[in-house]
Amino acid sequence: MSFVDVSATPPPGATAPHITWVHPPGGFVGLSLLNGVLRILTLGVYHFWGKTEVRQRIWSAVRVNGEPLEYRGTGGELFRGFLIVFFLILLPLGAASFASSLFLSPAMHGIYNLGFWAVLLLLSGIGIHRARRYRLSRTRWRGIRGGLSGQSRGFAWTYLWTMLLVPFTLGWIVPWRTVRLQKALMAETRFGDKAFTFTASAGPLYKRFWVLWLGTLLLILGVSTAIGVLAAASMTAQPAAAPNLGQLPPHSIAAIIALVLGGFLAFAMLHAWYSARVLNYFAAETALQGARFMLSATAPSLVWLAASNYLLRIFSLGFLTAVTEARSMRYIVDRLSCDGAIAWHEIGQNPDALLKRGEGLAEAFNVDAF
Amino acid sequence: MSMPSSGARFAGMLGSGTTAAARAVSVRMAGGGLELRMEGEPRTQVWAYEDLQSSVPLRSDAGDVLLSRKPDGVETLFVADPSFASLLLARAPALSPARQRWQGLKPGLAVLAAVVAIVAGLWSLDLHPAKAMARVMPLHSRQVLGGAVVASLAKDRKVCETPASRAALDRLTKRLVGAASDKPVPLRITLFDWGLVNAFAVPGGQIILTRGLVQLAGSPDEVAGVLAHEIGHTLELHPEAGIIRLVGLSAATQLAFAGSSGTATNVGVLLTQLRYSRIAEREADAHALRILKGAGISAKGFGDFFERLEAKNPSAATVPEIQVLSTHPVTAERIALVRAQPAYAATPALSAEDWRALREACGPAPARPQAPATSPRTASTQTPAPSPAPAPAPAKSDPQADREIAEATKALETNPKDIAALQKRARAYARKNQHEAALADYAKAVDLKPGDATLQYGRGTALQNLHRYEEALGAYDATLRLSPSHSNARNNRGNVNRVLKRYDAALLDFDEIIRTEPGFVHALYNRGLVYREMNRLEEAVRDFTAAIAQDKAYTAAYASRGLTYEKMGNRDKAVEDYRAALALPAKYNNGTWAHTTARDHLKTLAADTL
Repeated sequence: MSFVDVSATPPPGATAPHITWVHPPGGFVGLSLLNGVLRILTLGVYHFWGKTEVRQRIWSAVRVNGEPLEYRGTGGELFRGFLIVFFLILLPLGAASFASSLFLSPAMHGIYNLGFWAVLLLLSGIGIHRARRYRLSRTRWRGIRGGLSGQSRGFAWTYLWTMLLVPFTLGWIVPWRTVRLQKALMAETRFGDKAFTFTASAGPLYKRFWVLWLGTLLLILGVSTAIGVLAAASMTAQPAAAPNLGQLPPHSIAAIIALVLGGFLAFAMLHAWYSARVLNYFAAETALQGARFMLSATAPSLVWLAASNYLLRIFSLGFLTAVTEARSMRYIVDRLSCDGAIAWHEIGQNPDALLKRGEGLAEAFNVDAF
Repeated sequence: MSMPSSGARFAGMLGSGTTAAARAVSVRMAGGGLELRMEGEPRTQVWAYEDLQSSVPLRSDAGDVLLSRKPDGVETLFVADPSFASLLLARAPALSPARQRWQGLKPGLAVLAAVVAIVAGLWSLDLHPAKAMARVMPLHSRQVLGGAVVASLAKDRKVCETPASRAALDRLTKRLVGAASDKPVPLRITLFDWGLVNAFAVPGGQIILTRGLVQLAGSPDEVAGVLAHEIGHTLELHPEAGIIRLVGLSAATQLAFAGSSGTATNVGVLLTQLRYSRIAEREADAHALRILKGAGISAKGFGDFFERLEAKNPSAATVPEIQVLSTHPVTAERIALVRAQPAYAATPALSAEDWRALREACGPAPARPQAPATSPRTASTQTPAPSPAPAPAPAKSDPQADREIAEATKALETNPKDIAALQKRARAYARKNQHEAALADYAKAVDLKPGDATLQYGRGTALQNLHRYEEALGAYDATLRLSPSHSNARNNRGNVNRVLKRYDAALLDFDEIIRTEPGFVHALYNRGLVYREMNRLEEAVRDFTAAIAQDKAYTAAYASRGLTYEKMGNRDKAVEDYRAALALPAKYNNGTWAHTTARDHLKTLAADTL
């Protein structure tokens, strides 16, 4: 890990950013439920306004030197973005798929499907980029907007071709791809007229990735071997039984379920161990002006966050999604700190033109985080 | 900290929006707005209350407040004082969550109102946008669509076709289509080797028939009835409209719920589909009756098929609530519709050879359970209970009944609420086999006096005679609630359950009568019929013998015991019983049946012995 000591001589008037979470009055449960009710009442239309209020509340809970971030997007922008994507992209795509399944020969239909998925991936890439641009441009601190420069198209191509390489490299491209995509986003991210810098490279991630890769392989082999041995043992115990899992004695079935769950948990821990490294490393390689970020995510806390959020969403039938979004944001903010000072008066307003509409594509392809 | 009054000053931070630096500022709530004074400067600026916007909808318990000015003010004012929010809300109530959310709700409520208006409009004007779109679809694309549906259905199933069966189906198709429309209707019927009892119309004029349906059908007329119904769907473009509607509704719900799928939306789609399906079934039924009449094929087969289906799977029509959720109109309703058709000259839908070719198209037909034997009418002495044979009894001339009807009608002209007259007329109608009229009078009487067991019972018999079995069961249930010892009602309920093949329920009722009223000989006889149908032949013989022991002249008991013996292979005893039946006068309303049956069976048995 490279560390550049940029805080040796702080410019006059500079202070170190201090990032904290101040839980908003009212919390998120009530708001989340209310939004759910209003969404049903309005046939779903209120979704965009509810989402906006949730974001306003999450953003206002994030404090830099005690002053809140401000979310300035509107429900109307998100709604218009969705309508445009629905009518100009989703509906034509759906109609084309329907027609192709009717009128094309099976071979041509296969080719169409390949093209269809490529277009879908491209649109996902564009969606990710545009959603981030929209959100950053609607985020202010002390009235200074964030921003994302760069082209959505370039990002989408990278997103597509690196994705296509994942199966061909047996997954080994994943860390490199993650760095590449994060760099495309982070190096173009602005606060006001100043860009963030992102200096990560893929090498350090591979130190953990190979453990994850090999561990996953061993887990799959180990669990399937153990299941095979268990099944074979109970088969010989009752030789008349056909090789059918349904005919296994209950304790064997319980053992198999425990094995699968145990294997899944082990994989989750392993994956979180890798993800924690990715998050912490990315933060450490990100800097704004004189300040470098530090994140202290850990594997167990990541597993707990993911599992508890998952259960919250499932058991609330999605009504508590806002709660899970707030928890995810809080997880990062609580563990994020800054080293080095920023001369705030040197940061001017972001000059970019604002996107007129919200993140329809990201919404449509479900690639947005908050 | 003391509670600041409106004149109090608050410490704030003012962001210029040009750089990320902030300046300390002191804030006072003045009359028209917030008065901001920079530290060390005498100048003040005022932010009018109506121009303020808050970074979050402002709660009175907010610990701090971040403000800017509408519409796009880049300057920000941050006041970290827990008392500031509630004081500000009193002056700028538009910042409150309720007011902010109301602004956000307006578009949603407008959409809701628009959707409600459109749905109400479609509903009340009886518009069918999907059907209108189906009409403008060219035939070729409809055929392509149908081809895709057939391909998906035919994936694992083979088509049953022999040259003879193809010719038979083509002849039937031609006959039905000729009656269906003056214009040529492109139509192709395909028989699939599929056990499911069903037939589907698919887009582009294709109709799929299953082996299960052909095998269940008792006659070619039954298959022709079902095909006429499906042709009705084809004429109305129901399959095309159904697909268009499903696609449209899915797109609309996707749109409405922004891709967040919910169970509620699926239920809505389903209910809408079902409503249109029920309308479509009624339309197809109307076409079917018209087509059958035009083709000179008896509609009786169509009705027979419904009864067969109901007997096969009675649960589908048991619970009345299910009507809301079922695609097809309640079977009883459809049977009544078919039975209400006036008779016309008809020939069989297929010749015997064609019928055999169709039935054997998927290979040799398995032995089919015999068509339900014409069982004797229930022997309730008071009312002629129906036979399950589908043909309605012809109207009988009965001068005594005509006189009673005339008298009762006169009485009802002076007092339409004369229950005794209604009941008298209903009974007279029933004697004349005019059960619809009888039912109307009983229904009116029951409305006037719902607590009368006799009226409920009369309604039950009328419904039973009309083969509206589920409703008849309801009426008998009501009778027995009012009068639990009403053995006639119980007896008839048992018979209806027997017809519906709900044997356990039937046995419960007959057991109960035999226990509480041992002299009610018909319960023994009817229980014998149930046992025989259940193939519990020994018990059937025992019951018929017990009935004969009680009433030596019970003609039908002899005949039925004879049938049972014949089924057991005991020809001698059967012959003996048939002879005994013929030696007796026809007693009770199943006596004539007993004579006919005994005579027919003696003839065949005698022929066999030769």
